[in-house]
Amino acid sequence: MARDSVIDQLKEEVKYRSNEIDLLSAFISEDALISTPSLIVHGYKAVGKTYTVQKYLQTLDVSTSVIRCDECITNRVLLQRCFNRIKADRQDGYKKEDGIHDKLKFGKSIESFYNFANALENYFESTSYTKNHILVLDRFDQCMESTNELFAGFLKLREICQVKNLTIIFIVSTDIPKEVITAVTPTIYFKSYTEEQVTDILQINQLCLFGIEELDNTQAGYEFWKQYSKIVVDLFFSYTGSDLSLLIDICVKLWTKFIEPVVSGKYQVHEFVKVYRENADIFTNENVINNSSIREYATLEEEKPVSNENVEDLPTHSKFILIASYLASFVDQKDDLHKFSKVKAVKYKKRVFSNKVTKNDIDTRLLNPGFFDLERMFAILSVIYRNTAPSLNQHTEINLANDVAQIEEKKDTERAKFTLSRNTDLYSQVATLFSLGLISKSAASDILGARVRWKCNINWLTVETLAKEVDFSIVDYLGDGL
Amino acid sequence: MSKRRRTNKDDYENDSASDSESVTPQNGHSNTLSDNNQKSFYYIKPKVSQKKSSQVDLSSKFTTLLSCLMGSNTNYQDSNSSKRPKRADSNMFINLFNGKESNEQVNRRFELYQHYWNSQHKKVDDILNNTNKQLFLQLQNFINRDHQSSRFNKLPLGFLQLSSNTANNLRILQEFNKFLTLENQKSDTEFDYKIINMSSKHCYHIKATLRELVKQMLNAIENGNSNTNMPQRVGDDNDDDEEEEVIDDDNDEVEDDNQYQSINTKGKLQYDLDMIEEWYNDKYNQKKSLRFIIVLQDTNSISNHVINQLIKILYGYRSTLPLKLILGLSANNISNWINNNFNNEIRILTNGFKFKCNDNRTLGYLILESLFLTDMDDENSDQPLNLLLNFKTSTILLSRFENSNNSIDSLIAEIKLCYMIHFYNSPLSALIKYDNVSAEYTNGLKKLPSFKKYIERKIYEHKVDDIEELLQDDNDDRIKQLLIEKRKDFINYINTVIGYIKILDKLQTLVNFEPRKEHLELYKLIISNSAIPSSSATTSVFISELVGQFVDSDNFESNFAALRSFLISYDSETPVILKLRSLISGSSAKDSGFKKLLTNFFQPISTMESLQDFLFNEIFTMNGGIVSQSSQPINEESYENLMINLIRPNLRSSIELGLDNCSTYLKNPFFYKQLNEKLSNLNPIITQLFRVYKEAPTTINVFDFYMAFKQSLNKNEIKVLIESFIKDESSDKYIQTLDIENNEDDWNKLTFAWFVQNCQELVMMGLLKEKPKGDHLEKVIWKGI
Repeated sequence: MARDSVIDQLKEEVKYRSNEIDLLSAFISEDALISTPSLIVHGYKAVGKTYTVQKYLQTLDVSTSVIRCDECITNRVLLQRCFNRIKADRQDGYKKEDGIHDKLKFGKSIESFYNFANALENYFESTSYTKNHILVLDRFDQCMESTNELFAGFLKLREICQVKNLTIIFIVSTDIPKEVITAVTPTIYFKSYTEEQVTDILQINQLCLFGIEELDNTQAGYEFWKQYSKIVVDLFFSYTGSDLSLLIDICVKLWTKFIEPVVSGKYQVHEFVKVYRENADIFTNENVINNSSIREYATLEEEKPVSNENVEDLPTHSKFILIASYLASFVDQKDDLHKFSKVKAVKYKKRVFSNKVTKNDIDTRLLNPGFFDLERMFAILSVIYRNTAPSLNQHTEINLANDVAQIEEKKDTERAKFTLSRNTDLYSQVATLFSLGLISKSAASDILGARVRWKCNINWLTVETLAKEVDFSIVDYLGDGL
Repeated sequence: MSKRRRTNKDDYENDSASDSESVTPQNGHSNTLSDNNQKSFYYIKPKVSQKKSSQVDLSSKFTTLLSCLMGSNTNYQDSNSSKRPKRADSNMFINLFNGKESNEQVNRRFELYQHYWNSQHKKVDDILNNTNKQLFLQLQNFINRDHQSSRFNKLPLGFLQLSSNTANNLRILQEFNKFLTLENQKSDTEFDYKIINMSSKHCYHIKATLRELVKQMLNAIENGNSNTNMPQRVGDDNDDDEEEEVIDDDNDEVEDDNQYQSINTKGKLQYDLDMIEEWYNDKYNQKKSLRFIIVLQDTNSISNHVINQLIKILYGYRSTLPLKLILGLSANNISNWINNNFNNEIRILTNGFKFKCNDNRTLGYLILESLFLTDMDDENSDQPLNLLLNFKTSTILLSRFENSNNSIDSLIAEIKLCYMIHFYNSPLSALIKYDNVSAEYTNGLKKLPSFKKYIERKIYEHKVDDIEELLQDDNDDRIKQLLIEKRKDFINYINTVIGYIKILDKLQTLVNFEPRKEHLELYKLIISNSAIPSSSATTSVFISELVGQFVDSDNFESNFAALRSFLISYDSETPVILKLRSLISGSSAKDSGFKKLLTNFFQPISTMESLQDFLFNEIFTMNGGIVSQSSQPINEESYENLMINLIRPNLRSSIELGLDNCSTYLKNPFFYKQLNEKLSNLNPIITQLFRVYKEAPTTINVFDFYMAFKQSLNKNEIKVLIESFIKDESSDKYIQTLDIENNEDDWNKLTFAWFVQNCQELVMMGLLKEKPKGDHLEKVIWKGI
C-alpha cells in the first residue's frame, strides 16, 4: 500500500504523466526478476521523458546510472562510461577496490560491445552483484556516432551474457531504428503536452524572481508570474509547441526586461495588463526566437544588426577580388568576352515567343553562385581593377611644363600591362578570403590543382556595399548590357 | 641547358671536399633557426677553401646576416639585442667602397643600424603593448568570473571579434597568451590559468578536436603553463601535427603512461575529457582557482558542425570543470554568425558575450606616424636625427598596407628591412651622425644624385666660384661643412613639414574632411611637391578645398576657437606653428580676410623644396634599396624597391618573364656571344617548350604537344652544338654516339627525353597538370593575366 501512495505522490509532482508512471511502475521495479530487461521511452523532445523517468527511479530503492549519450563522441566512450558508471553507482555495500587495480581487472580497454558485455559479466560475477541495477541511456539516439548497432546489442545483452540484474532504459526522441524495431521491447510513448498542460506546468513553479523582497514569495508576485507565463505560452506556443525547454528559455530571457516597470515602481505588481502594454514590443522582437542576440561584455549592450558581412576593413585589393569573384560566379562564362573585353561581340538575341521561362530569363543574382576557375577570376580582376582602381585612373593635371600627351601615353601602356597577379600578395589574399569564408572552393579538391573550382560566398547586399566603397558600378557588368 | 647544369655542379664539387659537408641542414647555422629543425629543406653551403680568406669572411657574414634576418622576421618580438646570441663577429655588414672601407667604419654603420632600429622597435612595442590592454583586462575579468553559480547554468562563451587580417588576429591572440602567462607568474594571483589554443587544423572532426584539447590540457597540467601551447606562427609549425592525422582508431588510448605523472591515463581514451575531470576532482589542490581557457583561434575556418559538437560536450562539463571557451571570430556581426552557424539547441545552452578588439588599420597609421613623423630636436650628440622615408618608400609602404596586406607584423618587417638595407648598402649612411668625413666619404658625397642636382642649380645661378670650390679634389673641408649645414637645415625642413602636417590634420578633423588623408599621405604630398608634376596640383587643390570648407563651414566660430586652442596647447617651437599662432591670435573669427590669410599661410608648401632635391637627402632618408635603373613608373602601385621585392617577390611575373625571355638569367649578351657566337640563337629547351605551351589550348593532347615541340626546335643548330660536344673527348659517351642527322630515331629519342623532362619541370612550377587519364595535359595558368 505504501508503494501506491508513493506513486500517487509522484503523479502529483509530475503533472500529466500518470499513465506513463503507471506503465513505468509496471515494467521497472526493485526486483530484478520481475523487471523487464530493457525498456524504450519514446517521445518528442522536451516532453518530460528524462524528468519522469528520473523522478520515478528516485522512488525506488535501486542503483541507477544515467549516461548522457549525446555527450559521447564515439560508441567506445559510451560503453566505457556505462561500465564505469555502473561500478561507481553500485549501492549494495560492496567495498570498492583500489581504482587502478579495478580497471586492470575488468574492462581495461573496452573496444567493442562484446568487450563490454564480457567485462560486465566478469565484474558482476566476481563481485557477486545481484541487486537490480538500472542503466538509463538518455538521448541514446543523439550520440555523435550512430548507435543503431549498439541498440540491438544492448537489447540482447541478457542473451549474450549471464548478467540478469541489469535493466536498461533507452530514452529516444526519434524513430526506433530498423535494427530493433522487430524486437519485442516494451515501449512507453510520451505524448506531447497540449497548450493548457504547458501553461499549467509553467505556472506551478515561479522560475524567475523580482529580486525585491516584498514581491518575491508573495501571492501577488506569484500571480504576476502566472499571468506572465500564460502570456508567453499564448504568444509562442505556435512556435515552440510542447517544447518546454524553449518556453522556459523565453520566459527567463524576457523576464528582466518585462518587470522593469514594476521594479522601478512605475506600476504596481497587480497592474499586469499595464505592464504588458508597456512592454508589448519586446515580445515581437526577432531575437526572442532566434536566440542569437549577443551582448558586449564591457557595456552589456546588445549588438546592433548589420546587413553586410565582414568586409569593411579588408584591404582594397581584397575588395576587388571579392567583386571579381562575385562577377565570375554570377556572369555566364560565355558572356565574358562581351562584358570584360573591348571586343564588340554583337549578339542578336532571339526573340522567344514561347511562354517557357528559361534560366537566361532569370536575374542571375537570384540564382545560385556558379563555380569558376581561379584564372578566370584573375582575368576579370585584372580588367575591372585596371578600369576602376583609383590609383590607376588619376587624371593628369594640366601642367604646361610637361608633355601631357606623352605622360598619358606612358600611363596607358602602364595601365594595359598592370596586373595584380604578378606578385605573391594576391595569392595570400585569396587564401585569407577563403579562410574567412567569403569565397569557397569545391570540396575535397587539391588546392593547387587546375580543376579546383571556386565560388563566391557573399550575397548581393554585401557586394553592393563593397562596390560602392571602391566606387565600382557593378550593375554595368551584371545586367544584360546590350 | 645541359652545359649550364654541369658548370654549376662543378662549382660545388670543386669547392667542397665531400658531399656530406656541402649539404648542411639549416639548423647547423645558428641557434636562431632551431625552430626550423623539422623542415624538409636544406641550405646548400659550398665549402670554401681556406686560402680565400676574404671570401670566408664574406660568406660567413652573409649567413649571419641571413639568419638574423630570418630569425628576427619570423619572431621579431624576441629579437632585441640582449637576447641575440653573441657572435665572435658581431658585425654582419661587409666592407664597402670596393672593400676599402675600414672595419671601424663598418662597425660604426652596424652600431648605427642597431641604435636606430632598437629605438624604433621599442616605440613599436610600446604602442602594440598598450593597444589591447583594455581588451585583455575585460577578457580576464570574464575568465575570472564564476559562472557556475548562475541559476540556469549556461555555458559562458566569449566571442572575440577580430579583424579580417588573420596575421593580426594571431598576433592579438599571442599577446593574450603572453598576458595570461604573465598574470600566472604574479605571486598574488588567486587564479591558475591554463591556456589551450586550438586552431582549425586541429578541428577537422570532433574526435581530433577533443584529442588535441585533452592533449594540451594534459600538457598544461603537467608543465604548468609552459610555452608548449603558445600559438605557433605560420611557418613555425612542427611536423608532429601531421603525424597525428595518421593515428587510426585502434590507437586511441593514451600510449605513454609515464608521460603524465599526475594524471592516471591508463586505459583512457585520448579524447575522453573524463580523465581531466577525475584529476580535477581528486588531485587538484585548491589553493588557487583553476581556469581552463580554451581559445579557438580561427573559428571561421572550423566546420560549424564540429563547433556545435564541441560546445555540446563542453556544456556537459560546465559544472564539473572550470572551462571558459573563447571563440576568435572574424565577423563584423556576431549575431549573424551565430544565426548561420549555431543550432538552436546550442544557442539555448550558451550565454555569449562579445569582446571587440581594436581596429588594426588605425594602429598601422599610428605606428608609421610615431616612427617617422615626430618633431626632431636640434642636433645634439646623443640624439641623432631621425631617418625618414623618402617619397617612394613611403608610397610603397602605404600602398601595400592599404591595398593588399594590412598586417601589422609585415608592416614592421618592411620598416625593419628598410633600416637594414639603408645601413647595409650605403657607406655614407654613417654620416648621419659622425662628422669624421674622410676622403672616401667626400668622394662618395660628390657622386650623390642630389649633389649633382645641387651643382646644376649652381650652374644655373652662375655661381662658378662656389662650384669650383666644391669640386676641387683637396677641398674636403668645404664638403664637410656643407654636410653639417645641411644636417641642420634638414631638421628645420622636417620640422616645418611636420608642422604643416599637424595643422592640416587638425583642419581635416575639424571639418570632417572626406576622404581623410592620413599623416603619411600628407607627408608624401608636401615632400614631393615640385618633383612630381601631378602632385603639386593635387596638393594645391586639396589645400584650397580644405581651407574653403573650414572657412565656409556652419560652425566656423567654434572650429576657429578649437584651432586656436590646439595651436596654443601644441608644445612646439616650430616656426610654422608659431607663425600660425601669431596669425590666429591677431585675427578674430569674424575677420572676413581670414580665408586669404590661411591660404597665404599654406602658400609656402607649393614652393617648398622637394625632399628628393634636398642636398644629401640620400643620407637622411631611406630608399629601401634600388632594384632597377629604368625610369620610375607613373602608377604608384607599380613602384618597386629592394625591400618590397624581398618581402613580396614578383613570383608569377618573374617565372613568366624568365621563361619567355631567358636573357635576364642565362643568355646575357655581354658574355654569351663571346662564349659561342654560333649558338646565340639557341634557347634553353624549357623556354622553347614554354613558347609552344603559350600557344596551346587549355587542354593539350600529349602527342600533339610533343610533335609541335619537336617541330619548333632548330635541328641544325642543335646539330652544331652536338658536334662541338663530340669533338670534346671528355663529354658523355652517349652524346658521342649521337647521329641526329641521319638517324631519325636518335633525334626522336633526344627530343622526347627533353620533352618529358621539361614537361615535368613545368608541372613542378605549377604551370601544367596531367589529366587523370594521362593522354592530355592541362594548362593551369592563363597567359597575360
